[in-house]
Amino acid sequence: MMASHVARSFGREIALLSPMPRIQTKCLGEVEYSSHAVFTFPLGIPGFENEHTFVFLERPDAHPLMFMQSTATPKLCLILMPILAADRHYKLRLAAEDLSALQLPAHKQPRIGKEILCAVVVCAGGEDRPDPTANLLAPIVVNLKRQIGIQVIQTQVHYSYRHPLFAGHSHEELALCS
Amino acid sequence: MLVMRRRPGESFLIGEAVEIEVLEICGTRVKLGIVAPDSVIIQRKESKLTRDENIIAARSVGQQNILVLLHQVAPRPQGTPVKDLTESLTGDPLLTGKSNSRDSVKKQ
Repeated sequence: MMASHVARSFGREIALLSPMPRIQTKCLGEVEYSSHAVFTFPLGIPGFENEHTFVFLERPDAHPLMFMQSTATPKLCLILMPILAADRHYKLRLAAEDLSALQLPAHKQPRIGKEILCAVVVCAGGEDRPDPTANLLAPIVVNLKRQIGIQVIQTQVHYSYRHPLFAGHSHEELALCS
Repeated sequence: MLVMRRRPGESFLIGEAVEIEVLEICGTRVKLGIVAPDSVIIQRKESKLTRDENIIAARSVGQQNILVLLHQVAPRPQGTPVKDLTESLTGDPLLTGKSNSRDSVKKQ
């Protein structure tokens, strides 16, 4: 997916200039990251209002999943999935205040993968819920250029906040979209 | 569910201390005014759902759950299944593999 390529290529440029910073993560051990993979969430996200900085990490063997790791709290990591991998027909509608919060031009919807990265928070299953679900109601949207992000609540369209990830999707479909 | 019809300018009470007034109706949207004590938390329902969902999602993040999820999302028939995400990668070093990756670039 486009955004991940951006992060990778940024990583290469940075590595030539200076040693990359390192971070202790919840799922991936201690890893290096590019400063271009760091995103500021001025309002935090609902439930984690005091967490303002996240590093977006990915690994080829975990594709298409991404890891949204808090820089302040090693134990806080959310699993993300590109929104079109979760629902290939997803229509993102950003309201004027969302565009403003993301420092994007008003009156123009940004293109996913170009100006913005749009991903859903995945509940991986476990004790609380047997099967993995994704919150399509409130995707994480980041402005790739400004490195600023918000969790956008979609009120115009009725998306599920507990969208089953594997109902009605074949694996081939998922692979195509990611 | 109690259903009530109100016009703009009319209001109703919930208990003694909470008053909700219909201020304006514009197309499909209704503007409401709410008077309530500070102790009453007022939030959009979808914010509450997202908040709860984020907390459950964060709690669900563990090695085992991720590996099961990965297997479901992207089965890898030819390659070996992913066993441990904390292992360093030898493939593309500048992804988020471990720190020794940069040294391996030089060696190559």
